[in-house]
Amino acid sequence: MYKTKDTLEEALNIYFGFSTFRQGQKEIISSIMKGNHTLATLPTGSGKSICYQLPALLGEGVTVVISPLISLMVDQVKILKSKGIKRVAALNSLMNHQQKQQVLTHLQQYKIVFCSPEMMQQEFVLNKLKGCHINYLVVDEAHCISQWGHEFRPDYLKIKQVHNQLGEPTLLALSATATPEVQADIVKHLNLDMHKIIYPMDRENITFAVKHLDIHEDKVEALENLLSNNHVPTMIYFSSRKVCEEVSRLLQGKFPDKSVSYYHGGMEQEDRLLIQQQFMYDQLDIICCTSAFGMGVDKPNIRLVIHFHIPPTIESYIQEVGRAGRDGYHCVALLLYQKGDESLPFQLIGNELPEDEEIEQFPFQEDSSYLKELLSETKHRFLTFQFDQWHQLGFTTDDAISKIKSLRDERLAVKRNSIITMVNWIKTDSCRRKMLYQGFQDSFSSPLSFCCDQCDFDIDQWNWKEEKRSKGIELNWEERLRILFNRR
Amino acid sequence: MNFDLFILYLLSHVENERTPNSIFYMLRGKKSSQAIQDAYLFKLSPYFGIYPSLHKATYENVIRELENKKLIVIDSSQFNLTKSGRELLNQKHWFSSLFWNGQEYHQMDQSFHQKLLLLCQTASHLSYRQSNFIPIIEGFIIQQEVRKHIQQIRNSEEDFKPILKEVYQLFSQLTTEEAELYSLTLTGVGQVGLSSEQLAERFDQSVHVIRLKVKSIIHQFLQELINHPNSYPWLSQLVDDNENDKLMKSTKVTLNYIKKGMNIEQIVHSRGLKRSTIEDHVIEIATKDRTFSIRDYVSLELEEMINQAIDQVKSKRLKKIKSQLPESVSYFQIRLVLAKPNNIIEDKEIEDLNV
Repeated sequence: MYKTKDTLEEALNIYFGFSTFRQGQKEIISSIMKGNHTLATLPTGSGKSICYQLPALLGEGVTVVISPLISLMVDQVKILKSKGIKRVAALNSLMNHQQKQQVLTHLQQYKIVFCSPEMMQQEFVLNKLKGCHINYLVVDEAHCISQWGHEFRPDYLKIKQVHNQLGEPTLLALSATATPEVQADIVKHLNLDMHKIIYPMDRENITFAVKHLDIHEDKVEALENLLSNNHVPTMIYFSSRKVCEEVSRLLQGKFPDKSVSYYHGGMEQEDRLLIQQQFMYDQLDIICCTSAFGMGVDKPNIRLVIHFHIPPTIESYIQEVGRAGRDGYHCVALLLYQKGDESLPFQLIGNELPEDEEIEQFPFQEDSSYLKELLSETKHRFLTFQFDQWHQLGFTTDDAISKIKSLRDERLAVKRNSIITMVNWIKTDSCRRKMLYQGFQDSFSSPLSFCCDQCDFDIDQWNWKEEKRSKGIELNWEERLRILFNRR
Repeated sequence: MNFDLFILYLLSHVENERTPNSIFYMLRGKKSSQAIQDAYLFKLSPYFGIYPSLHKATYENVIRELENKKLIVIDSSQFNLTKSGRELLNQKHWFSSLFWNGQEYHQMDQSFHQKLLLLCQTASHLSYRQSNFIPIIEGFIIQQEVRKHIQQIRNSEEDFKPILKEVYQLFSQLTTEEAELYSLTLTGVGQVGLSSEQLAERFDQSVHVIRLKVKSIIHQFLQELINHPNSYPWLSQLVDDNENDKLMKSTKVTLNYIKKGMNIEQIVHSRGLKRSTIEDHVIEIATKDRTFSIRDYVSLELEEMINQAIDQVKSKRLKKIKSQLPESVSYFQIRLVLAKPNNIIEDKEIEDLNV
């Protein structure tokens, strides 16, 4: 039995090769192993997933993890398998019938099954799950339950029902970005007596800075200046794929000694895998990317995260800068701001939520494939869910339409507000660290190195003493083959 | 311009006869009888389906460019090469000496390429005793196939030296530039493969030219492996040979052993299966693979003798045939002779086997 103090650490070492737990992990693990329904928050990059993976491996039965993004779950499975933990699987809508059946038939043999919220509700999936011993039900990215959260997912509201139908196994709700408001919302929706383990989200090893610039070219110049003096693993985030590619090419041209590449959702899957692994294995110095990059990226030594555009929410900003310094050493987060940059995220939220006309016409469109083509995926998901829900509650279509419109307005307001909060953060003249995290917590640990450009940091004077440069690839093909097959 | 030139060269085959778009569909390997017949008719078979990921917009840009440079003239749906267009093609070009065999290989080249990449990655990590890594190819079927293949290699070889030897041998068939190019696509310990965009930058060539060159290398590999399977006992198994594909899984394993020169006794021994099972495998192979020689099991003289017996009894019933032959001739040998494609047995008569 792994109940005593030593043996939990032993198990951690056996399965994951770490000798000690990081902050919070052990407390969360002990809580659910005692059978407490638990709500836990841990900062990004602090090893949230260990909190359910270890108990899942130690206990009897299957642990079901509800995860909002397919790419996230596929990456998790890949990473676990690469660590030699093979009894894991994913269930999602991208799989064909045969693949799903393959997983479902062998359900009991798995220790961890990642599942999208919509798959959980499918009758045949739920029935199969009911026939198994469910050890834990884990709700990853639990802030998706809350309408006040930055990534509200209507499907998440049905988790309560699923949990009931599965006979209320021990539930763990995890998030890296839940304000006290959202935390309360999660507990309210799940309607469980939950043990709350809330860790502050501030990362003591990140130094924050913002540079205000007049035009696009100034941003590029600022990048060039910073990167010519510093040679550390760097990520640069963009909101636009086109600009991402352009700047990547430009930087490569400017710095022939560095290895620069780009990554975004519009690339072929195979190329994406290559670029991601090149960055992981220090074959790239700089990666220009969109928010598509980063799922499951666990590179420990990223020293610099730059935002070329502004992210739509404080939460996504916290998540993205959280990729830096996972090894615990000092790192810098820099945001480049040009007046008017906020217009882009404002435009984007318009694409995410349906217009009046789209809401009004939705119930009268017979052909669902036509609708899918017409509406963005998020809009379609939103409308399908809302109409189902209001109809089930006995509302007429007309009443549903007006309910949905007002709900849409509320969501729009939430999203607009979060962009405004982000812009206020950029324009603040008080401590950036405090302001970034104040919505989530009251106290802050003191920074490991510099705090922020409002307190004690000047990015223009900054210079990393140590350098980490990419490894070049071997000289000629024969040598390359010999190294590849360990025949030097 | 290099890619444009290549398109111009292909266009020259169909001028006056087809629209410029016909070349686009041909390169993408469109499965319509028109496209397939055209490839044959205009001697474009080598190029059929060699660029399946070509975008329409890219192609249209090339056509527009060729038109702007007055290398072709498009008139409603017909088009012609201009004098300068024709002159341009008279010189030697980057593609003049390149080999493709799209008609034959376009359906299998991608999966072969992926299997080779994954095999090399796996062999590389295992050579360094690292069993945990993130596979560079995600397809489940490819992963399963390579996993089995690796299993077989580990069962019968001490290490991955023979694989390196075969890879090296394959690479030796290439020009230095090609060997450089393809070796950079490989992933393993010490290097992660480069994407086509990165290769394009490194070799200072257009990404289209790079993709076509990589495809040409893959086709050269395929041709080499298909023509000389015996020189590549392990890598040749990565080829989805159509004949081979129809074989049962266990039969494929037996075939691999045979290819390595083992006789039935040895296979029975190392696989721990019954002799009759292995014999069944050999018969299955002989039935389905016309190129498979039965000479190791039946001499030419014996084959003739068995054929005579078959003619004599005017039946394919094994018992009757055997009664005409010396005691030493086995049922297995008779079945092998019958299994050859010109001796097709009726289903009913196979029941005889259990006698």
